[in-house]
Amino acid sequence: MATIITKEQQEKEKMVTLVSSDSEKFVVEQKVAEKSHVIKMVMNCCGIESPIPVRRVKGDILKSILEYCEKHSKGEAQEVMEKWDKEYMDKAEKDLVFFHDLMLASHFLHIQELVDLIAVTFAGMLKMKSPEEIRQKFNINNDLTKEQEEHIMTTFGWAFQPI
Amino acid sequence: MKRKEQQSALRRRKKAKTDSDEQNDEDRISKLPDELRSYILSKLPTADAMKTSLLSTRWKHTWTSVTNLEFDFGQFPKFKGRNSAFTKFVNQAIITHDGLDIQRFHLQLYAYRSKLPYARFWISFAVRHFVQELELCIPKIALDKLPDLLFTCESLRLLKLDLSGNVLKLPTSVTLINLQTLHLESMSFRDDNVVWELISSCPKLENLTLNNCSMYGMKILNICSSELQNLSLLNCQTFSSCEVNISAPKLKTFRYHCSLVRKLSLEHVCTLTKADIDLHGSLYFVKRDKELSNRAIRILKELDNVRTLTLSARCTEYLSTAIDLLGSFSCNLRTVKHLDVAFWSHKSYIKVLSSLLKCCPTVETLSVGIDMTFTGYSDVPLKNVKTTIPKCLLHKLKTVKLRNLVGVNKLDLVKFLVKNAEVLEKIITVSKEGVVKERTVEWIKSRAQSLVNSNRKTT
Repeated sequence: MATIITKEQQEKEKMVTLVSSDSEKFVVEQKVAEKSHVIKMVMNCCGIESPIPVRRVKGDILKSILEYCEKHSKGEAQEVMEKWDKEYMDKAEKDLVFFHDLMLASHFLHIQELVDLIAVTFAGMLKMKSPEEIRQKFNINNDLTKEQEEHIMTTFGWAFQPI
Repeated sequence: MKRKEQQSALRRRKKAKTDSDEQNDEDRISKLPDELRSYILSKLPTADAMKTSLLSTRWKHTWTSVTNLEFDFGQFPKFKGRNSAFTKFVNQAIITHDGLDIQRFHLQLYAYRSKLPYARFWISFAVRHFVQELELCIPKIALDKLPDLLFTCESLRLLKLDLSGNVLKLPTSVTLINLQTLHLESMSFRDDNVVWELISSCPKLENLTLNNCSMYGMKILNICSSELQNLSLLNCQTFSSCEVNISAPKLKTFRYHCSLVRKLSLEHVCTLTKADIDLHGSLYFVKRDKELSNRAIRILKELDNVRTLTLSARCTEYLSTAIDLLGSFSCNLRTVKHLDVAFWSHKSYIKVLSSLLKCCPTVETLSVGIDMTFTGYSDVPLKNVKTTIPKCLLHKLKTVKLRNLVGVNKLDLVKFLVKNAEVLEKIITVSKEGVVKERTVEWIKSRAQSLVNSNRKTT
């Protein structure tokens, strides 16, 4: 977890301050922030002395992302990480708005591992579901014309038969 | 006044509620950038990705820009005209694909029971789109020969090839300059050169697995690779006269789950840290043939740099018969720090274990398991192995894990360990049901003492 610590410690552990779009401050170790390719580039060119603004990401999302980065910078055993990732995703996917923002933010910050994890979870939500079920889950409005729909149905009819 | 305030507060709350409802009702997934939506669909089999085309106009073409194409005939719905519908679908997916590079292409035709010349076109399509990971299962009946250009694909980093028993035929020119991982499964090699030629055409090869391959056509299997780090030879069928020569200076892990061959040599291997050995084949001959017993021991002698060693129950059975037949057993496993051995339920296993431990004087963690799956010979009497528990000094052993050990088996081993291991700290037991218990050596000793005391009292 991102915690605020004293200035002496900050110098000792090479800490960096990140500021979310709603001005929430997070002080994390440099190696944690480095998990984001974008932040890494910013740190490389501007140093870690002054706080780095992450303008497109809100505090609650940034907090969750840093939690992920911190866990993934420890180099723990693969099975431990897989279990942790699953629990992290189970928690995140409960709130679709949050989950959606999490994906956008990790994409924006260029944390490929996390984008990948979220994409797999998203894909899991789409699998084995009929188009109608997916539309309901994500509030998708079907704006296809009758002709378009019929065209798809005749080309790939086999795919839409009930199992 | 108060009432007015309350009312306005209520109104505010109501408004807040409808705001958040609206937020929840919004179709957010469709508003994700195209790039992310096709990335999500790339995590699905292509048939599932295609189904999203029926969601809305925004989704209609998203599936055509996936970077992962995955076609599994076994997962395709079963109905009359299935074969042609599958072919048509793959063709359509390939024709409508937006032309971007393909990261992964997976084609599983195991259950396809007729000719499929299109497969050649599909594979070529993937190669022309700079595929990096190619996973193919192509039975002979569908396609007898893979397209030549597959073997000169520059973009390829991973190749998993399953030929369902068909013979691997290589074109005259093979160069896979970026290939790092190669899996060859369920195929047969007609001569000695095929594997050697393929491996020597992959200068960056780091991971090689041969699984369920028939090597009856081969006298020598030569694996020479300068970058190879992980090698697995699994369930391959060989003649016992076959020879396996491995020369890989960067080899780190080695798994050998095949039958005993005439000679297995690991040359120029000095970085090997992990080895996992399981020997296949009948034990019948081993019991009668000193040469075969010697072969089993020779394999261990090749592993003189290993830090983590895993031996299967069948492997230790080979060793115990070898020990029995040869009277003694010695090899140098001085670098082994972690030893994981399994035994068949066997009264004399402890003697075999102690012979083995004598060869591994610096072992720090030991894991012993009883493999209950075997139902063949039970309890082969070991004539020549001494019946008393021998002394075996273990100066470094700190942790022991016992899997599936019960009753006398467990008691004997615990006694043996407490007696011989000077710095042993704890013993962890894992039952068949997966219940884990951890005990310190002090606890075991005091428990044993109290048992002795109570026994005295009763007598």
